[in-house]
Parts: sequence; C-alpha cells; structure tokens
Amino acid sequence: MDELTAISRARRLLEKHPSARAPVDIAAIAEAEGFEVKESDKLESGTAGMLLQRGGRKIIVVNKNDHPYRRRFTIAHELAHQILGLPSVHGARVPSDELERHGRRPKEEILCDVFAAECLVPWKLIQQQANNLHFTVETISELSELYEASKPCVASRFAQVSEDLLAYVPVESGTVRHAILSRSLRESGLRITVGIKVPRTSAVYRAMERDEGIAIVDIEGTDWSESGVAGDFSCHEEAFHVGDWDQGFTLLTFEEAPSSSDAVSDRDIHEDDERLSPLTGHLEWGKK
Amino acid sequence: MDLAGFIERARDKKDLSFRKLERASDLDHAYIWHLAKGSKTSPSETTLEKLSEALSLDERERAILQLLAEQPIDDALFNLMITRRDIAWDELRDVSRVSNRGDRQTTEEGWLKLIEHMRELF
Repeated sequence: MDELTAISRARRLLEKHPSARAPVDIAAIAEAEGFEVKESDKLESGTAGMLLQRGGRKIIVVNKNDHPYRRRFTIAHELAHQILGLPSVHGARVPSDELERHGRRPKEEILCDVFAAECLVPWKLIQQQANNLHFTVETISELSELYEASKPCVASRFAQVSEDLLAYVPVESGTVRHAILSRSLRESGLRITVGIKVPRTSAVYRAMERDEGIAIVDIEGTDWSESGVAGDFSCHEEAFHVGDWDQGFTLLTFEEAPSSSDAVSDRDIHEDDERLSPLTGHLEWGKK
Repeated sequence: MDLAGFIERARDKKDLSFRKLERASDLDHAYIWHLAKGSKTSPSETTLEKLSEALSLDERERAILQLLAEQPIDDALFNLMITRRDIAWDELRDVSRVSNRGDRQTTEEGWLKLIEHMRELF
C-alpha cells in the first residue's frame, strides 16, 4: 500500500460521514463505524493509544493524559489500522509523535498517520485556506485550533495541498528529520535534504540558539537547498522551536527571484501600476 | 518469533532433519526448507496441519503455529504463550493482534498488564 491509497481511503471515510466545517468529529465517525472509543489513565506515557478487538467488539483506547488534539489523532490513527488492514508489527519501540519522525517509523505506522492527518485536516477544507493564507507560524497556530489538530499535522497538510512553493520541515536536535514539499516546489526541482544539520543562517537555527519559540528570517534559496536551481529562489522562513523537547519545525516559503530582464521591465512600469501596498506592519489575513 | 523461527525451534526440539521432516509431513523438502528459512510465508491450512503432525505439536503449539502464519509475535509474548498455559489462548491471541500508537509491549510484565487491561475493558 502507498500513501495515495491511504489518503483515498480516508477521503472515502469522510464522504460517508461528511463534515462541512472543522473540527471533524473523529470520535463520532469511529463510533458510527462500529468502534467504541474509551479514554484510559492506565496507559504508559509513551503509549498514545491502542485498538483492541475481542468477539466482534472493537475498542479504541486513548491515553487520557495526552493533549486533546493528540487523543483525536490517536483515534484516527487506530481507525486507520483497521480500515487499511495494517496491524502494528510488535516487538519494536516506536516513537508516537505523528509525522515528525517519518524516517524511524515502520511503514504501516506512517500510512496510518497519513490517513489520520487526512481525516483530521481534510483536503476539502484545508485547500482553500492553504491557497489564501500565508504559510506562517501564526496561521498554523490558528488553523491548529480550528481543526483541533497539532501544529505539525496542520502544517504538513497545508504544505501538501498548497499551490505555492512551500516546504514543511520538522527538525530535531538541529537535524532535518523530514521534509514535506508542496507539489509546485517538487516540480521546481528544489530539494530539501533530510538528515542534514539545519543551516546556520536559518530561522530554525536562530530559534534553537536563542531558545526562542518563533524566529523569522528572509534568506536565499541556496541556504536551504543544494539543488542546482536553488539560486533562482529567495526564501521566507518562519520557525517554531520547543526547547524542552529539542524539537520544532520550520515553514519555508520560496519565491522565484526576478531575473535581470524582469528587473529592467520593472523599471518601465509606472510607479502607481500594480505595485505592492506600502508595508504597515499589520499582517493581512488573506493574501489574494 | 516468526514462523521460520518457530519451525526451526520445533525441529531442533524433536531433533528432526529436513529429510526426516519431509518424510513425516509428506511435504516437499525444498518447500519446508524455504518455510524454515523465512523465504516462503503464508502456508495453507493443510500444510500447517501436516507440519503440526510431523513436529508433534500440542494444542497450544498448533495454535501458535497458526497465528505465526498470519503475523510475527513479540518474543516476550511468545514466551508467555509457551509457559503460561493457565492463561486462556483467546486472551493471548487477542493481545497479539493489538495495534498500538506509541510504545509497544516488549516484556512479559507489559503483556500481562495488557491482558489485565483487556479483561477490564471487555
């Protein structure tokens, strides 16, 4: 099974239980699908939840001590195990943080995470927002509250569906753990290398160094990508870092730098024509 | 524990060579060899029956063989399946099929806790 199949199964599930607005009531969907959902304070702190089956009964147990958004993701993840027909492989210790640790997790767990993310942040709902809002920490925080899903979950979905040149990059201990690129960014030929140390010029490096929650920089495409085309792009970067966990993520918005011929023609444009409004310091909600 | 490991374990226990197992089970020598080396999986019901007979498996071991044909089992849980005959097979089988998000049980104590938890929930 591949990620596209997991996504299409999630979409099929949402079509059966349509939700016109966020947040998706994932517990109600699970119950409508024949699962009982229970919260337990007896699970170890490293266990977010599990799916138990006996005699035709299916119970999803979630860790009562987890954050509510995490509990919602766990319900969707356990639902995925059953719907995708992908049981957990036992005998391994597996980090439970959704999406952040792609490289070190078994394939079936990654696919269940992909399914869960699609359920909680449905394509139909996020697509318009992703194409109308700036890819910033503030936007992601607000959408996280709207969807009742974690920031990493929302940020990865935003990058996946956006038509802009975006990348969502989870970082742990100063190392790039994964990179989710928007389609247009992939098509541009820009690549983000997984496993490298974050660039010293980057916002996420600054956030880590200063132990700041959020850092923002404008840098060159070459700071983040070694691809041959990287020199053609500039990059706006906003990073969110949690010092206690030594984890965070960074949001990269690339823009094609104007070519020299564009620069000449710009000078010919009348001063009042199609220019950006003066900066006021106020961030506009919409960008279109 | 996986299917190949279990067949090898049972073969060692009975001191059966592949040739002897072939004769006892009426299965092809090469096929048994591939099953025991893990290069072939998902044997049919009939094959499992023949192997169970040839390896003189008891009722619990036959159930384990059937389960291993579907999925590998954590070593700590496998030990419980072999040693704790006082625990109902259904309970051991059901916990082996649990899907987790996060840390999994890797100790006998952890599996026993999960069995207890399932008893409370169902």
